[in-house]
Amino acid sequence: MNALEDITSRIRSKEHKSVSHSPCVTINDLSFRYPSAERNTLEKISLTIGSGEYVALLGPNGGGKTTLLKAITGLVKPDSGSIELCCSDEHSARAHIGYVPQSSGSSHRSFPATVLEVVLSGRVVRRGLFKPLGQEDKQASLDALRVVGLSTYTNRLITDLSGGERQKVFIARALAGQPTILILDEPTTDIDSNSREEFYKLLKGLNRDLNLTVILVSHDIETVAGQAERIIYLDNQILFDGHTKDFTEQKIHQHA
Amino acid sequence: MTDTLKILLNKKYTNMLDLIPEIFQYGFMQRAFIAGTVIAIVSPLVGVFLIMKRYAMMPDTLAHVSFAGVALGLLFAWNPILTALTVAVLSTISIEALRKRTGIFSEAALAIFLSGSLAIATIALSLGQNLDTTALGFLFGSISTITTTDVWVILILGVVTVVSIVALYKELFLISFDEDLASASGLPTKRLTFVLLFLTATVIALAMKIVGILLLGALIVIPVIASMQAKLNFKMTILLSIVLSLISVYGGILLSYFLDIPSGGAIVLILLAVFLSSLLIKK
Repeated sequence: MNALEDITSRIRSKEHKSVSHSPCVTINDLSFRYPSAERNTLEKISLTIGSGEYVALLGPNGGGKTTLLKAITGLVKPDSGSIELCCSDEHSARAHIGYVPQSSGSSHRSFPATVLEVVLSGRVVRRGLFKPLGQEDKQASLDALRVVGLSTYTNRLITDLSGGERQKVFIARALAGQPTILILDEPTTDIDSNSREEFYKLLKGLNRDLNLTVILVSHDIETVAGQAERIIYLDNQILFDGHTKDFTEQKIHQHA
Repeated sequence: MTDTLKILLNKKYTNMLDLIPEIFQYGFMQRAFIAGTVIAIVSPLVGVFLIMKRYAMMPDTLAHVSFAGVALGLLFAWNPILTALTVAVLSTISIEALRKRTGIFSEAALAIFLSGSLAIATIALSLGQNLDTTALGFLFGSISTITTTDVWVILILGVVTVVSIVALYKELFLISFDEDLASASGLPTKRLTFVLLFLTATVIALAMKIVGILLLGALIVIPVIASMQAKLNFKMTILLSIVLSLISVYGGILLSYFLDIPSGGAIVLILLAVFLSSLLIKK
């Protein structure tokens, strides 16, 4: 199935969405400590995220949210415990993850690249070493830009975009790799408050229409609580894991 | 005043273009232009990735380290380009190992290698007979010292560099733009960064005879910075930087011939003029 067929068929066939959420990420007794840290950043974390779920990871600074995302993406090797993704081997697992790293704001300020060039880089994991990107990769990138509503932006420079537009481009880059899991680390840091709502609507739409599993780290508790269906509150260990409604009613004032 | 310049002044500059075919009759000028073309292409080709990865100071450090290789090559009568390349590659590996094992900052590791290699170079040159003049050619660039063997080494290593960059283009783009994403995608980012530094060491070894060790950082960095002012896409930025680099190298070689000045200085002055022009055009 080519890229265009893959994305459009997932948009059209909403019945594709699994109601029962078959396991997509399974974490067992995961612990991790940075070499200079006095205590474990992650302490015996166990959880299962189902296919098509929209999960928000909340918690204080230093609570291990980003570290947990990095462990899922393979950027951090856990000291103990295991992570299983809904794919057999590590290589194919990585091809199923679309990752939007934490934005540093200034890091892309002077990079001379167009939106299409940036989105095309999301195809690298699919293509493999030494193999040049081709027409199929370009088509997948254009499809991804269409999904995030930036199909007219292909030739614009990434440096000329607003924070919100740039984050949409990074989501398109993740989508170009045709992932089943979309992982975002504090994606709204550089986005003004007006654009945030639109951004979260886009994520909700991707989760609903493409049946993407969305795992999101955010400090924006109130907005995220209105979007995600499940919240995991992490402060080195899991303090809350449940439906958003329960968290907003019982825990938000306690933890915010 | 040089004889060539006197001739030019007597002809009131109008016949300068007539002299250009004439200079290609000289073997050393043919070699300078062939080597210069290769250098002008490969320098911004590695430079664009180094600048985007915030490694803009790496070429200067590796260039100083290469000087120790040149000095050892001259002392033992080995090809100085190959000894410089060997020392630069070994230093790249050692700098990374020192940084990892001791946990010291990258800048501190670079400083140790920079001063250490200059110490080796000065001692090696003092042990040999009349090596200082040859060494000066490497420091500031000289078109008359390029041998036929040098041209072959530059051509072969130049082709290896271009092929490597083209083959790894999409990976180098990704590790330059977003290293975290590259790692999460399963790319061997550390090995790719080492390949980039190895290619930088190669370019330095190729360019040092024409541009000079003390000046070649400019050829790697300035054409890229100048072409970035045009606000083009990534591939066009690379192409424009190569064009600007070629203009500067050809212009510098011609100035060096006609005015009898070191080619490295002439090339870098033209590069600076190109850079200032790019800022003015942008405004």
